[in-house]
Amino acid sequence: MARKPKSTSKSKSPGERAFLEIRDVSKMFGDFTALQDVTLDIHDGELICFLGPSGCGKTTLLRAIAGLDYQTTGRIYQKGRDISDVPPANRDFGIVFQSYALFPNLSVEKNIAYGLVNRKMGRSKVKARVEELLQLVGLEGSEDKYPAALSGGQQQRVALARALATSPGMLLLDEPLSALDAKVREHLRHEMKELQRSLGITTIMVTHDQEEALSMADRIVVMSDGRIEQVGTPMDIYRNPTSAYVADFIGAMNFLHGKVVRKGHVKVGKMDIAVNGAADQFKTGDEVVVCIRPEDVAVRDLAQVKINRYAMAIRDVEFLGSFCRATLDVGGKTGEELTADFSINLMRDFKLERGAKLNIALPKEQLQVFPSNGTDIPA
Amino acid sequence: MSVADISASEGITSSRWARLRNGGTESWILLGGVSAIIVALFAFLVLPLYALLKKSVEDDKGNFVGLVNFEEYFSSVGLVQSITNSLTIAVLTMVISCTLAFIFAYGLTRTCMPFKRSFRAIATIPILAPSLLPAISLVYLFGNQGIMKGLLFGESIYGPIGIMIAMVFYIFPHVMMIMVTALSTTDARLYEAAESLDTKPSRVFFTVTLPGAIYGIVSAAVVAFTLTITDFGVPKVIGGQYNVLATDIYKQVVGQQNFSMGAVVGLVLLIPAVFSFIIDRHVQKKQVALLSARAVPYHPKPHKTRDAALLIFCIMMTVFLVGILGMAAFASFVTFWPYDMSFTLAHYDFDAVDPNGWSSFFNSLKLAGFTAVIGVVVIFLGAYLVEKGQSFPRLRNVFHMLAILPMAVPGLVLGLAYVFFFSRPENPLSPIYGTLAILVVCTVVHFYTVSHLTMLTALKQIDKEFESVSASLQVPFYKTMLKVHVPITLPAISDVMMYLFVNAMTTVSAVVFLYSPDTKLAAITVLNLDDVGDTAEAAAMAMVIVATSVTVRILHGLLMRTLNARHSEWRTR
Repeated sequence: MARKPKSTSKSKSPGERAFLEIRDVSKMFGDFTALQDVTLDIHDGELICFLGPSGCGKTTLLRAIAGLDYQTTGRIYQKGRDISDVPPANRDFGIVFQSYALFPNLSVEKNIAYGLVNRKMGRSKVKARVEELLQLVGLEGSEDKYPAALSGGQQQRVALARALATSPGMLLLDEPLSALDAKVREHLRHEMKELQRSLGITTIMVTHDQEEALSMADRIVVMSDGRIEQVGTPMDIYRNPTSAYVADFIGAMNFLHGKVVRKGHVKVGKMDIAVNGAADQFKTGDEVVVCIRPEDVAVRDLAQVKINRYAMAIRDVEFLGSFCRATLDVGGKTGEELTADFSINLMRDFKLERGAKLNIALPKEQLQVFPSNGTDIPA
Repeated sequence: MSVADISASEGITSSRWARLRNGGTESWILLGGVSAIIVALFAFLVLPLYALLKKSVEDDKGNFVGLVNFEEYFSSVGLVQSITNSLTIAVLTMVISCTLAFIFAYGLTRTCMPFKRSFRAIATIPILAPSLLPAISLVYLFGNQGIMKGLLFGESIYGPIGIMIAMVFYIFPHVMMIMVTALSTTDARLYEAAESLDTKPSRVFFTVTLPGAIYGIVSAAVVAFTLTITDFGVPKVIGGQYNVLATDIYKQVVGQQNFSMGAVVGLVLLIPAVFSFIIDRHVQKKQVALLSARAVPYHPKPHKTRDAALLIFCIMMTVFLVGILGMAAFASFVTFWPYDMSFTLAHYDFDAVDPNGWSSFFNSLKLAGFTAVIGVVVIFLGAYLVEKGQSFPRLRNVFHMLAILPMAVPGLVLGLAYVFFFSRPENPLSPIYGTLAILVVCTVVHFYTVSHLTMLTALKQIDKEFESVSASLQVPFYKTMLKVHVPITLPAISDVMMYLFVNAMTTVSAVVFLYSPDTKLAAITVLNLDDVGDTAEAAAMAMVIVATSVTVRILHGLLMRTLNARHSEWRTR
């Protein structure tokens, strides 16, 4: 990735500045580069997700923002204040860890009040605030319980209440839901988003779970190998990935390896695929991959469709509950496959089963083309 | 290095200073704490050892003489003979004690024999006694007036045989506990796999059991070797004319006042200790990976012959251990062994036979109390800084290495190093020489490593994000340490205190050069009483030490039970 030009944000007036500005932040652990020249603006009141596989640097970036592990180079500004060398205690944030890090020997009340007591708040005020917070996270009456007596989901709420107790300017969530069961996770996902929206608190969440990121975030930052791959709204990232890496990481994706045969046309096996203008950057003869999501493979109403229409055989069908994922034989010697998601309804209407033949279309506007020299493209 | 690199690294340095400044009080407390503890370990460990090293290349008047002392040492047939003697004793004791302890531990972990808990409890008793006690007992049993003298077929108990038997008693609990740990950490599925493949029991033993426990066995062997070669009490009492390195140091320093030669012997003794220390560290690192988190614990199934055989063995071993302890107890209560077996308390009237008498016991209590309290505070803070400190990784690493070092230094060597370092009037710390303070410092340093590692293990189990949470809530780390880490690690704190107390009560080696008439200790009195032939009184004093240690251990057990009951709400395990 090309090095971005040095930020000129210092000359801007404070009114124009983002809530949090991250400028050319790099972090080295010995010879290992965990973060490389990360530049990012985070806006007031948004929930932003750092998404990526383990080791991509998302937690490192979060810890640098918190001041728990300082960046090696680069600056970080919160509301225009340079906090790059400020220790965590003098920054303004609350944090929830994957392990929740609740103090096991302190009751729920004392855990939540932990940061308040130190602020010389009156005892009755502290008590009132704790009650208010417990109500906020839906745990009224649990004051005297110890963390060990709570379920994972309840512990998570206590950790959240503790982080919010001092009314910090920013909330940091480090994989807050990944230690929970699937059911609880889905429920809390919704609840946390509601809470965040009603409090209007700027929130940064680190996760490796794309579903979590897609459902909760206002914006997603996709990361890999210590760099930012793409920043955008969930819909944007899902519909318009800017690289094969993002396309592969978010959702399911077909990668069809082919060659540009003439302007706007890619040959994959025996198929001649018409692609939209996005492939204009490629020259004839370039090796490319054509991408389409399984749910975008069209089967109904093909009568008027003239382009990208092919007959294929169903090689295999995998039943996944609300829909079926079919593996289609693209044909040709390469044995390339195309996966398509068919609703149960469609399966019935078209009598689809293993070995059946059918016509499908690859809608031009749903196709994306990337160069195939990248190492992260699945074969 | 390019210009850009240099300016970048300057930027990093200035950031570091900015961070330290911005960190305020907390950063300075952390830096101050780590520095203070490093300085202390330098003053009380590194510099004394350097003084010892320096002494070994000086003559009586303090002039540098190079390796002359070493030449003299190695040309003296008597002294070199001690090396062979020490090694012989150490190797034989190692083999015997490891074999016995392995079988004993096998019985405790891999059979369905009854009374396992009692066997285990009894086997740890020797830890509570000074090493002088088994030697004194052996004198009663096999000495010139011994009732079982005939069993030796004319051999004398004063010499290698006596040393070895007493040593086996003294080091048995240490070796046994390592063996038990080694044999406990096994995966039952390996045995099920072997069984389903219809493997002979003997083959299972050599292909599954032994390889699984091998690191523990090596570790136990190293501990046995080191404890034997560095112990001073046993050969002093029962060694007779059979010289070993440990008694040579004592003779050179206390007997002949030949300090340089003492230093040379000390350095010679340091070699095997350091060597075994390195092996042990190496083995410990490998041990970790052996057991996966998914291993299924092994539960033995009843097997009549095996269970019976091991039960008989364990009973015999227990009889040996209890017999030795019981002999000393018995001897301390009879008028004149073996001629007048009437009961008496006269041997406990220490004031009648020793100028210090009972006061040495109270000195020991004071030493043990101070060592436990001061030691645990320093050790906790040190371990906390190493494990939980957020900055200064290099300084913390230096400290951790220094904290591991005492394990490689035999008590006698440490004590002698203290003599050379603190007795010099130009040393600003010399006022503590001859006081209780130097005994406390020396004992804390002597037993630092095991305590440090225990504390470290306990702290490692605490969520590493507590400091981060605390910082984000703007609570200084030391408050969280007191409110959270101390209560959680209370069991380990209590363990360390008991370990320090019991060792301070029983140790002889490090303090034998350092006590003054006012600060004479109970264990030293045992040594002196035995020296002048008041063996019954020596046995009595040893029994007083054992009784004190047992009391403390019972108190510790009760405390742990109350703690567990009171904290049952949050202490899940």
